[in-house]
Amino acid sequence: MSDDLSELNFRQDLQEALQADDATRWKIEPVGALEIYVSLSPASAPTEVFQARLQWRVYPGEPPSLKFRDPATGRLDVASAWPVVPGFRPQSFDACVNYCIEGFNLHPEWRNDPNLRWNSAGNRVLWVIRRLQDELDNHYTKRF
Amino acid sequence: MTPNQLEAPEKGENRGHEHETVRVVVSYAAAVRPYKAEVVDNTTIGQVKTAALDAFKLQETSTKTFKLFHGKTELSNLSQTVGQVAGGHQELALKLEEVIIQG
Repeated sequence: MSDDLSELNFRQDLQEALQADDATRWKIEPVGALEIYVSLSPASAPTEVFQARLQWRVYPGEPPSLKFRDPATGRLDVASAWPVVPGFRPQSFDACVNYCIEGFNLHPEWRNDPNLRWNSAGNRVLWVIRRLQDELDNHYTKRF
Repeated sequence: MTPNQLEAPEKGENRGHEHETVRVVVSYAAAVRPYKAEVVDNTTIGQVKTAALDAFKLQETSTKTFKLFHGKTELSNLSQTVGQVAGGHQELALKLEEVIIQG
């Protein structure tokens, strides 16, 4: 479910994100009004490509759903599509981090924590993608 | 503090002794472009942070803070100078980050 304002904000931020200098590291595919696939690799393993599926219900007011997708089948329930990173739970197909809706569903108390709650300021598409890239560059150990 | 106050002094300005200038680049993940400023090396990290928050239109509150990082090192001492952190380099790349948690 999305609304016109979310779609407008999302399209604008996505266009801006594609202009960022570091966007050359990613392959971003818009697949829905508020949904993208982002292919990215850890700096330490450039041949390992992970495809994240980011889907917002409301943009930028809520965090996105974060899943990793198996590009061969399109399935979102393949554990080996996930990188091993602290907070990611490949066997549950979710991530316990404060930048995706699954994390906030696991920890509802984060919504009321002024330090941890979702911040909707700035370009949140770019912020989440950079967050994922940072996880892969600094915390990645292997493919699950 | 405004970004303008972080500009390098005019040539010949008397400041007691010569100060080197350092090109500071602050990246913030939710901004497409980084904040850039040429500052004298005795500019404090606190001044840089204030100017960067202003440039990114961000506000700190009693419960919402942003942290500056040099590489993976958090710059918690805001009285430290740019020159001390840059360690003789003419460019200093910093990251402005929100609090992230991995449950």
